Amino acid sequence: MNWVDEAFGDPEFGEGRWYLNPKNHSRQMYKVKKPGEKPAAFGSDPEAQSGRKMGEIMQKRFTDPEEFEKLVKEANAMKEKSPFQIGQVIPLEEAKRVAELSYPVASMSCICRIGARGHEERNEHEYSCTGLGVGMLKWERWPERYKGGVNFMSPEETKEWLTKWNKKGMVHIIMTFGGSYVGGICNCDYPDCGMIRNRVDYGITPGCLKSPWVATVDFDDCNGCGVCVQRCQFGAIKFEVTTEKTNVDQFKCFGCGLCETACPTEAIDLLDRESLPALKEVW
Amino acid sequence: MSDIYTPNNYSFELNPEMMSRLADEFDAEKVATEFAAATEGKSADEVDAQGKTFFENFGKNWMSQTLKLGEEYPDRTYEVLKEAIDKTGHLKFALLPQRFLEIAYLSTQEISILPIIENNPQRLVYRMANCTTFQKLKEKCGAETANRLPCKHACLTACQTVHEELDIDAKIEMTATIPEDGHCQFAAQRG
Repeated sequence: MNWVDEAFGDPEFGEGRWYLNPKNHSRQMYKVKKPGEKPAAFGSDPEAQSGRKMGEIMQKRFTDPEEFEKLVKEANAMKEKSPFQIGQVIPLEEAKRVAELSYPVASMSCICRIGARGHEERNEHEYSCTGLGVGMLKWERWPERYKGGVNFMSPEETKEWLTKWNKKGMVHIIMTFGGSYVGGICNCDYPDCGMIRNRVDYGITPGCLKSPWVATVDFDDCNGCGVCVQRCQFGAIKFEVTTEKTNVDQFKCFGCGLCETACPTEAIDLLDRESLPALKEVW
Repeated sequence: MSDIYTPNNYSFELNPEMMSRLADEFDAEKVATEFAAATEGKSADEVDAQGKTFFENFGKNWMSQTLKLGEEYPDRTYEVLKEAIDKTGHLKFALLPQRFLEIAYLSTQEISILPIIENNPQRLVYRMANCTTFQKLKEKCGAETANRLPCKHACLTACQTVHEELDIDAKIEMTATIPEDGHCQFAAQRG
């Protein structure tokens, strides 16, 4: 069990996984402000704080490498008290289970792709990110963030939409927006996704934990087509020329399952990470 | 009620006038005083029986008026919710009853949020911890009567009423009580 499941999971729900705990998907619609209470200060939301902290750490990497290492270690050791949003890679089937738990679900443009590539997703056919929960009913409060609007989806539409992005080769990442509250599922790839980049390039783990699964290849069924190698966003699969088969480096594998859903011969399975002694603490 | 967070003069919050009307009409002190007068000198069994009728009526009126005023005083959050329901064909349960339950409690209790424990297509669960009605009953009728929770009938009936009025089939139950758990908790399970 990883530290997020320990902190926010409930054994009664979803095999103890925090993102399948209905309580982490539930929130009030309204808040009554006390007389004189001012709105939260600009930039005080968890997403903004997380971004700012990451910016500070990134700068240190170049200006003060020792301090950088120290800050990364500190941030990772803080676990649920870390200043970063919590996020975890999940395979398609689990993302679909989340679609049954979160109300409402709305697709929207990806903020990371705007930042990384200047690529703006302008309408519901292009949106690759989702906002989850009742906060989405107030999306108009942030018109700059939700340029082009949002598209509310039924659970079935959400599942189809997730499948569409999975087919395209995107990793599903579930993330919180303050505490344990699940606020979004993003469809991500490297290097566009800030969460993946923070983890892979900078070693910041809370925003992009590995999934509870690990890919494994059945060599008897693998036909060596190499489709899975192209799909892996984490460089965990390689084509072995001598055997003409692919192989997974399970220490690098994030358990996103993109290889599994694309394999034409169904040679790839996802194993329970915790069933493998060497990997059960590798999150 | 516009501020920098409400473009187009939208208000996403509950209308203060609506809340004030509900607060006046369903004041906890008033209801506890009325109940104390109605049950003075009666046996525990009689208080229980009277409590059921009294608070069921109160709960029904409380929610009926909440539903009426909640429609009279819409807010942008509600408008977007209705648009989302129309668009998806979903969300009616749990989000419509949730809105009206939040209005009912936020208007009549000294709380800034109604803790929502679950809200998904199957279940709506919410919790009341520092309940003013319970406190007022304790003051007016004594701890023994308050701890028998005659007021639970108000909450259960309000929850039942909101689902019935919105034509949602749901089974309502109380899953925790202030005397035993430190908070009351109510659950609506989709039928």
